[in-house]
Amino acid sequence: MTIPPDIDEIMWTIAEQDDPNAVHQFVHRYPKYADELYHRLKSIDALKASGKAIPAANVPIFRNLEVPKPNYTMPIVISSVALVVLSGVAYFAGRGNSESGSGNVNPAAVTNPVTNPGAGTQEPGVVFSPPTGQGSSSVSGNQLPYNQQAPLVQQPSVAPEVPKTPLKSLHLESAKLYAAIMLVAESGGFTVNIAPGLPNPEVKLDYDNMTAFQMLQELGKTYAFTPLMDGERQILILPVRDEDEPGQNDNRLN
Amino acid sequence: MNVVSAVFESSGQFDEDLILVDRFLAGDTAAFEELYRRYYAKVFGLARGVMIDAEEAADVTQEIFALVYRNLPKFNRQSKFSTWLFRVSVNRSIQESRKRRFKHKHVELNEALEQVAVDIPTDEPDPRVQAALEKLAPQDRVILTLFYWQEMNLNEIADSMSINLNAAKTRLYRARERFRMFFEVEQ
Repeated sequence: MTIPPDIDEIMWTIAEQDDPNAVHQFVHRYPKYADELYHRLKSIDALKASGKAIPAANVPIFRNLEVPKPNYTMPIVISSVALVVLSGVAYFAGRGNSESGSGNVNPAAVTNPVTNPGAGTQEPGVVFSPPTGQGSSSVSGNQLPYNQQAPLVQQPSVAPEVPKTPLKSLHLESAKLYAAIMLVAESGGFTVNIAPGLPNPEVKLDYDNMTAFQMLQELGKTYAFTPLMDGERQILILPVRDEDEPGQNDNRLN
Repeated sequence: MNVVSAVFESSGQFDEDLILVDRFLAGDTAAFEELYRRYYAKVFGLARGVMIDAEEAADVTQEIFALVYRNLPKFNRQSKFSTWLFRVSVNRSIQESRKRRFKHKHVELNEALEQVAVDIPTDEPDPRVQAALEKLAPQDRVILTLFYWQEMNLNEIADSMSINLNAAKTRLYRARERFRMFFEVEQ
């Protein structure tokens, strides 16, 4: 049965109003459409009732995805500044040692280079050279027993070692930088302090098989910050990027 | 921005939600919680109409508010806060519904129908209605939900769906027809 559009419109209007008088008048006037009107009434009634049947929701706690900004207290600022100064001093002192040390190494010691199998840990055969001006400044290959490997000149690290943490994968479509840093740090069991001045843009994380510290270093390359160990399980985020030495911390990663 | 001018949207209407928006943007997170409490039921109702499943609707509602929380600084005040919120809710619900549409198990719905055919619990939506809604496109579910459940008028619906008034009328008409067709099949 083809229903004229105007009659159809009237039927929907009556169905929505649900006024018994209007229904009665319509059926009286257009008896052949009574069944159609009844179907519309029924479907609209069911739809409306279904909406009302949805229980008034108990409002759950809002699961805010944001992490509150860290509390910038004076001690953190002071320790940040002190750490930057210390890092700078250690860096230049180390550079001085390397330069003076490399000049004094006997050529015999470097003709047989070895790879560094125990990076970050003191292996047998690895000798730490004393700082310049505090004793002998060079190690000669012919001063070693014949069966000993050629010495590797290695500076003792100033910053605390990064504890070994398991390799993890982390994928995050979108998060604020602070939240991402905290998430990564927490995944490695670290607490984190973020020094003032670091912007908090939206970031995307996509890391596979990396330690938490490595992830932070990678993130730092993109968003201009440097993660530093600041205690056994604490990381300090400095809003500066060390571009002079991109691999500076590589030997302390794992 | 002056607080007094902030509570009037571009059309000159007073929008008390904007006071809360301004408080939130000034750092008062309790103001956002107030907005959340104020609109949770409506957003949940919309999400429920589009997602059908209550748990999914609750998840989507949380996602919507998290989205609003992050993007509130971008709210340009050209409309009422509630209109903007509904626009976000509509878009997100449709998006999520499309993502999850294959997860819906028609079998489960049919089983539900068999179980409640005799006695429909009064505190649960009619499963025949749910089954009919399930067969509609998400946009149809949105417009029916906004019109019949949220009791919004066509102007408000047009604003929330970012369409003009005539398009809203046409869509409502078509959605209503399709719903009736599927509903009658379910009976």
